[in-house]
Amino acid sequence: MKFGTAIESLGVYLPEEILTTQAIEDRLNLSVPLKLEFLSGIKERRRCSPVEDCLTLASNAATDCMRYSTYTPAEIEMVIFCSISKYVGGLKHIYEPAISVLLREQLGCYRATCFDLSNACAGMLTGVHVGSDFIERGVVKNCLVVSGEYITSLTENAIENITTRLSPEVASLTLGDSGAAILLSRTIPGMNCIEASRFITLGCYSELCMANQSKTQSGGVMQTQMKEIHEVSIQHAPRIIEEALSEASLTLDQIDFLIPHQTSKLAISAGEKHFADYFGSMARHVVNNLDKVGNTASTSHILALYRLLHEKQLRKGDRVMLLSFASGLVIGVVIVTIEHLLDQYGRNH
Amino acid sequence: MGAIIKSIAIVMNRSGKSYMETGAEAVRNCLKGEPMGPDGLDMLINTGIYPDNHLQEPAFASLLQGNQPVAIHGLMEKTFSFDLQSGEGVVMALSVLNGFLESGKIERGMVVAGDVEPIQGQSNQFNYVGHSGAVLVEKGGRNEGFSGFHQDIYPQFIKDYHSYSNYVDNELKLIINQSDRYLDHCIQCAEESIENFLRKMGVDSKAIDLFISSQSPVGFSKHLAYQYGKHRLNLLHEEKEFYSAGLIMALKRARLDQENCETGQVMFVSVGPGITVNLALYQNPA
Repeated sequence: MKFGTAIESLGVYLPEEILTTQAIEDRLNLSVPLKLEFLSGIKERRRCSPVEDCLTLASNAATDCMRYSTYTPAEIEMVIFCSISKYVGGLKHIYEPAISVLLREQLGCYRATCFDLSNACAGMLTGVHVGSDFIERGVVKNCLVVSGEYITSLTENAIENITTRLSPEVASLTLGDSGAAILLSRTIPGMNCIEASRFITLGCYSELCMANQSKTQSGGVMQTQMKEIHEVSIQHAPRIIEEALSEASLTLDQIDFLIPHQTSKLAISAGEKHFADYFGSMARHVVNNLDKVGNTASTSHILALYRLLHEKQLRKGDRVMLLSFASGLVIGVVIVTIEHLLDQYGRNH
Repeated sequence: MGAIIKSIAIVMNRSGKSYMETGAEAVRNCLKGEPMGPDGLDMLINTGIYPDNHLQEPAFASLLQGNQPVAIHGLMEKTFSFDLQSGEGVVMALSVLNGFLESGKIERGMVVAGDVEPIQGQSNQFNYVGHSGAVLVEKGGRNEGFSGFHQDIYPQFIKDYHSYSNYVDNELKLIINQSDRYLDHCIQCAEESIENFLRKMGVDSKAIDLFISSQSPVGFSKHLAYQYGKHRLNLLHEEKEFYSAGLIMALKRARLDQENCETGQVMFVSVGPGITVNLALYQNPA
């Protein structure tokens, strides 16, 4: 028997410390200003305190998610941890055990099957894709997809390393720390159904953005060919969008909110124009959530959706398309119809 | 039933090659000689733990996909690739692929695994061989293939094995800490999980013809062989341990062994830090 998958609840966590784009620009040693805020649309982002890390970000986001859930932690049947960064206890990059095992214990999800999944900025949506399959086949009733991105060490290192506006580390200046969690559940009437999910990896572009642990600095270092990765992303995205729309029996103008991966306002608006030209129509709204949080990697779509819910911008029956662009090059689309979440969010916050 | 194993490839690494080289070669060899439809390979999951140069992004699977010659690219135009970690993650990755095959979302999937010392000479006790392996699966017929999967976590032993990289004293170093009791605990957990799984599936241990297990920690597969049976799968002829690809090595060895080829029901036993035990039951195609 095939079951439907719904978003049962979602949660986020943002560290308290704010790092402004202006403060970053002030520290750059460039003869000509970068105009980062103007180009990216990012005014500020959050940064972990010395006692926060990937695990605390993920754990706090999952706790927030569980506050809105009808499930208790002991009822969670699957936990998938999806972040790129795996820093626990400062800037120690944890290889083993899997962070999902640590998270399972912290949250008290003692029944849950768990594993880590890594797919750059498409990590959480890949987790949704994989978790949904387990739910649809009836293997589990629910699945908690979680990520904690502690990535501002890349920003700190980039500030030290950048000597020219053309540096491949410029994209690292847009990053912000955050946690996000989404609880998938077997559909019951009135829930927010996942209508479609489609993913592809264009491996021939896998070296356009690469991040490693730095050999000369604490934390990570990322090198991105921004122009190239943006161009190939929007060039190849329409095929995947078409497949997902077809799976959901929808057209693009029936999508109420398109949430693309949050990199910069220029990239988002260029993508919007390209898709409008290609499809001859466009989603009702294209979401830009960059101003206060920056590019939060795998958590960016969930942060944007959470904000829409809390600001009561969504209406019952609205269809939301989550469009992922990630190093790899991964292009992914998840389409979800919003139903009961509207009643739960936007209070007490 | 579920997915069947179509082909297995192993790439031995005794000359300090990167995982990018050996992993990509394992993928290539695993596809070699397989008649593919126009859709080629739909999903590629990497379960290697220790990558070249402490890579964090992109998923290593996408690099292995991208590092294929032109002839293979045509088979990978629709591939979706990502990394997965779950102790020794091959069995969990097979569970994911089995599900996508069962739900008809993919027709062929592959798991690839392998490890390297991320930066040569910059680890405290990286004692693993850098071999890589790959397994190609596709949808099977009735009464063949994977029939069940199972996972148990034993958090009371979570501190038995932990590894991390850290930049200290102007050096990026990989630190691996493994307790003296890790092997004993892995054996204890695996035995308990096997009993749980057999009970859940309603299968007697005598009905299992072959156990194919992780090859790490050293001594684990040997113990299972003594405990459960007739078939010994001890690959540890070298001083260094097989790690992420150990179970694929054992599977390849079983395939090469004519006697084992004729076995009916197989149990896959993977064990790793956590302590995480992942199990699967597999019916060899007739």
